[in-house]
Amino acid sequence: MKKPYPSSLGNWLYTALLRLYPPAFRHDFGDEMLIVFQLRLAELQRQSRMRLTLFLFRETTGLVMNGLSERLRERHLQQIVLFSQGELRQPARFARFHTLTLIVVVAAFVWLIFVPYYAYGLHLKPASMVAGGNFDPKGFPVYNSTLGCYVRLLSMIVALLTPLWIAGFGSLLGITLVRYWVVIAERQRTTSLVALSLASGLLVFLFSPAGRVIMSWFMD
Amino acid sequence: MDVTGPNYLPLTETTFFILLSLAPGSKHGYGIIKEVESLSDGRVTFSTGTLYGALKRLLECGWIVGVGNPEPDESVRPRKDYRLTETGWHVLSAETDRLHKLAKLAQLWLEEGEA
Repeated sequence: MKKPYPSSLGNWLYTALLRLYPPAFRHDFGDEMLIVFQLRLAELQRQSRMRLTLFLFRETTGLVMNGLSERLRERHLQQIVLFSQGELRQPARFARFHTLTLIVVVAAFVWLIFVPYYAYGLHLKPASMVAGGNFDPKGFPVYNSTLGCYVRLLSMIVALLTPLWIAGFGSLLGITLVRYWVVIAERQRTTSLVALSLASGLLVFLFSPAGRVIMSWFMD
Repeated sequence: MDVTGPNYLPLTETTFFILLSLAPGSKHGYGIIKEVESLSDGRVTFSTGTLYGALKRLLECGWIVGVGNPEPDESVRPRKDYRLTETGWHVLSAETDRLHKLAKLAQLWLEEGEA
């Protein structure tokens, strides 16, 4: 990609975020996108600060969302799950949907993993909290309940189904799950098993023809 | 593959506005953004990410085509214009027709309701 024209923080940020796009996309459209961004930036710099802020916000979030979508799209994820080929709007929607799913999953995990750390002190580990009996799951119902196990497992499956760059994240979740499986009490293992069965069932359903039809209702 | 078939309709607003902005003639990315803003009275504004994602898909479908190559001179900014293909024109016409019929029907029912 050629060097941007006037060097500025906006250009630098834009060029950096463009790296979220697949190389082929950057090669085809990167220069043009940067030029259009520069022209818009120059235009809006002459207008109100509010419009400029909104523009920068829209551009940066647009680059992140669309960049990740293009990456997912490039890896042909749309062929794995929901939609048949053919409609112009569907692959893009699916990629966007998948990106959003990932963001939600990552956010949920950050919450699940870090909230107890902050609540009980950074020196404590989740295993010792449970094993030592100091951890009160009532404060964090999602953390140590059937629903918690379910969310964790489902998230792990979603993460593992996504492209390679997220494989490390999936592995981390796997380790977390195994760790909990070892330290949790016997009765909680039963609930975890129920959660596992539910998650597996849902996953099978999502990949089934009926699941595809239902998902397509939400996507159209 | 029949790209003008009913499966392609309705178009998304983004696709429709991009095709519509290219109807009078070829435009580059910035021109498309400005035209769409003007056509929609400022209601629709694309980010560059949205615009080029959509343009890529329209190119893949063969509804638009890139014209004019990047300048060979490195000091001059590369610029590519886009224009509607015949297929793109058909799709736009079909969607316009569909919207027209829809609006006509709605108007008829509203008038009947008032009467």
